[in-house]
Amino acid sequence: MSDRIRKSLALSLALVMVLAVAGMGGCAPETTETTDGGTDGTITKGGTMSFYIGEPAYIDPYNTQESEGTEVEQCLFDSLTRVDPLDPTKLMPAAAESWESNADATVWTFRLRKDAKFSDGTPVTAKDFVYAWNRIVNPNTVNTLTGKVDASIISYHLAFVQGYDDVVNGKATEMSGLKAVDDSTFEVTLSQAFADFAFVVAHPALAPVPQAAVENGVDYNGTKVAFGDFPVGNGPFKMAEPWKHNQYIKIVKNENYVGDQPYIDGVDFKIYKDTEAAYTDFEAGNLDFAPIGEGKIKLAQEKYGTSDDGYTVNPGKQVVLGAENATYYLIFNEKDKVFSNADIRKAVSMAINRQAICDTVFEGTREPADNIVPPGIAGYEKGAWEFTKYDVEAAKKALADAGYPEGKGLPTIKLSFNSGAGHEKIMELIQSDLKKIGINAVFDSADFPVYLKQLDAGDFQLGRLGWIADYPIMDNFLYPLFQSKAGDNKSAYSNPEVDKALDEARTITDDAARIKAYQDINAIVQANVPVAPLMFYKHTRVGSSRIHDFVWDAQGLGDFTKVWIEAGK
Amino acid sequence: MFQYIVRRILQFIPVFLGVTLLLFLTANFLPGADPIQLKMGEKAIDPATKARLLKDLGLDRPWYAQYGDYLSSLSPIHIEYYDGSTATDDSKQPKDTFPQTGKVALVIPRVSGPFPEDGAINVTNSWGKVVTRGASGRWRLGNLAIEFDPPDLGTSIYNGRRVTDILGETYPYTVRLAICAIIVEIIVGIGAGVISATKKGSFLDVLVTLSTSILVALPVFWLGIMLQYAFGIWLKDLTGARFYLPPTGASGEFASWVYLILPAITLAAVSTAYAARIMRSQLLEVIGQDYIRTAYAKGLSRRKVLWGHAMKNAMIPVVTFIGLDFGAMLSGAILTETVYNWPGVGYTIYRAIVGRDFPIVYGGVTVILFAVMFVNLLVDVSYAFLDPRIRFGGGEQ
Repeated sequence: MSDRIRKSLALSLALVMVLAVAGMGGCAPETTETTDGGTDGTITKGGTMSFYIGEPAYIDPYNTQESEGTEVEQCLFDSLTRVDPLDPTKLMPAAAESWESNADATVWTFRLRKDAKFSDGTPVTAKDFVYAWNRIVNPNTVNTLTGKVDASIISYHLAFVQGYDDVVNGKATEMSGLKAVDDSTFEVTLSQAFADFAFVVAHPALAPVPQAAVENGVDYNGTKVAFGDFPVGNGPFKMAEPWKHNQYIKIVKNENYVGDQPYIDGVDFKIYKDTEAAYTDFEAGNLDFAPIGEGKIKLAQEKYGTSDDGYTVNPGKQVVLGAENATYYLIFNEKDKVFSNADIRKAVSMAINRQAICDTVFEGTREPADNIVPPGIAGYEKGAWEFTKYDVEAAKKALADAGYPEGKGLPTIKLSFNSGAGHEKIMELIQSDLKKIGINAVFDSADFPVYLKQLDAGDFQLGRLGWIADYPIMDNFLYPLFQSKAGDNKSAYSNPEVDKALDEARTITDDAARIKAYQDINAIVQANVPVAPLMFYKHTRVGSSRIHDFVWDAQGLGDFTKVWIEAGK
Repeated sequence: MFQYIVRRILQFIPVFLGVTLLLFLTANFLPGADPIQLKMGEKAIDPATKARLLKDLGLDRPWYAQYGDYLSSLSPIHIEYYDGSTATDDSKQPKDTFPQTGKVALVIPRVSGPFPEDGAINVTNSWGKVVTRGASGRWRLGNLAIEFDPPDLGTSIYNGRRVTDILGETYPYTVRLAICAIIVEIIVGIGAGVISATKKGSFLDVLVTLSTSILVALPVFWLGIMLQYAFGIWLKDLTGARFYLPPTGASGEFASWVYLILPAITLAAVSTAYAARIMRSQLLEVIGQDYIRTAYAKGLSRRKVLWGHAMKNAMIPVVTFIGLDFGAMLSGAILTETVYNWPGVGYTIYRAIVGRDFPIVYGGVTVILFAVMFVNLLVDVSYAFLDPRIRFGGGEQ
């Protein structure tokens, strides 16, 4: 090597190293932003809040099916009732001023606000509910974006309504159970009693829609826009411009709204492809509410402060970590030779150190589950599922009772889950916990579509699932998961006593008595251990220091009517 | 030359059929839940609703029938047998629909009812799927209805939007990013390669060799994240913390180009390094050839020898590489698009594959196929320009 080359090489190396060091300097965390801490009591009006969402599937209520679309849709529409954002066990009036049912909870009468209007000025009447609900159930409903038939997949919300089956099967176009008694009285007859029906109708998808706008499109700057891109609703906000797919949805205050007007002028829902990008944008000061990036919870808490109640954002108390109405659980296949034995199910459930999973994998942002029903639901009882207690000795004893002392003679079991969604870390801990009581478990992971198929076909021994409540009621956990014919009962749990009690509980109109009935059912189910609840999901989001009194509730819906933005920020 | 281009275009037909057929086979034999169940996630779906939705989408039919549907929907011309009879029961049919009657031929669907001379109509074809026909005109030839339609790529299973709308929104972003990245690659890659080769052993040569070695080893997503960090957070005040296209869109044409800088650099980085290395080695090889020495001996200037004789020959492998790379970029850069939240087609197709949203996958691949074939054609034509043996047919024999 000539001297010249050697010299050049040394120089280049030095240059590259200098550049590398300079680059690493950029990786250091930025200085902590100072926040003013708390509100001063004076509310300023105006300003636009920016909010992270992924691209929604639909914002047209007829097919609002996932959290992203629901977040937007609930700002544009008011359903009959509304779940109290800070106390999900209570209902508040929304489009309906009041409601009542007959003695056996089969006929429900909702009295609508007489002065309510859609954002285009047309009055909201009971007929708009009849039209909207039939639109959800009718298999020939046309998607306004394409003009093609695109039936809703969320018609199951209305499966209780009389005449539902006829419409679904194409024998009728309107459900016989829906009646507009007059403009402001909406009567719903159910095919079976359901005392919690007022919680069902709080679902944002069950909102009224104006027929003319749906069928003829909406005028926007002299052009017709499809309702699916520009829904016209009766909620506190209205669309500012048509949905810009994969980029943003802008909404502004609806001056025709009859409820309390929001303090802010509007919300920009910015559509991100992934949560990490959103969090980076949040840190750069370009976003008001974002999911916290993986592994950054503790850092975010130090930097932005933690919300007192877990749901409300105020300056200096910006990280929301409140419990969601959702449970992560293991399912035992009761048709499997090994897991048909209840003692083995108990042993597995007690062998798992749930606290360790929450702490090590989730930085403490999930809570060990002691019940299938999460704490935010009326009727939740602490420790109701006794076999969720971490007790290695009791687990060993249960295994011995099953005839496999220290796991001797027990075949290796398969632990099934969907790969690539972060479950691996949880399953590794479960695998080592099971090993401690003598159960050998191997992974049987597959990508999500394959895993779902396995669950459907009952082709698994021990699997995982997450259940997110549609409505914050005990019924929404117990009926779908443990009624013997329910599609979501993947553990094939079948108990005629439970089936009967579940149907009976739905007829009890007295709230306290009904909740007691559900608690009794929960007690029977837990003793059979058809599933092993592992964790309750919690929020992991953060708000900016300029927003005050923003509540992001347990169902993951933001209350944009009470939030306000500090002047000059 | 014309023959050469025609031959290349004709070669595209078997490639197109092969790729799409393979795609259909792969999609249909992928194990796992169907797209309707995936739409519901972990929640169960009512079996009757699922069966109905699968039928509406034509997903209950065998793969070859679905493939036939796909090819038919791409075709701009449709021929149907018109039997002239009147509709028996109008009430069940949507307005302006040719009601389906009796058994229908496999290739030519039979339609009946009044014959509208123009305007789009919905035709129920032999397997009960409703398709839009005659959007761009209709002729009647005896008993045949000949209809002209723009190619239709179907609708997304996930959200019911038209695939042409989805691709129409995303593909321009991918093309724009690919063009910027390829410009970076051409200028920086070829430039660095030429400098490195002509100044062999100099500081610049070593710098190019060393930095390209580092660049080819860098994972694209890491580079993207580091650039974001540097310009978005570390140099926040300098850049206004704007390091990728905001979801609310860019204001003004100039601003939207500014957002391309970092993604384009990221996307181009690795390929630029390769291009520089190929350019360097090719040029060094050519410079060492006898005819270059002869050119110098004839008294030609260094510039003339380099640009007139050496570069043209050294460029062929570089053009091949850059051409293929441009094709790959037009297929969508999943990693770069994801890291920068770039609303391009790569990530859209990736998501569609994960969610088994087949119409988007088929539509996206179709558009990409055409784009890549077009770029390949341009590369082939540029060979002919660079190498007379190809231009005059010698290279082909």
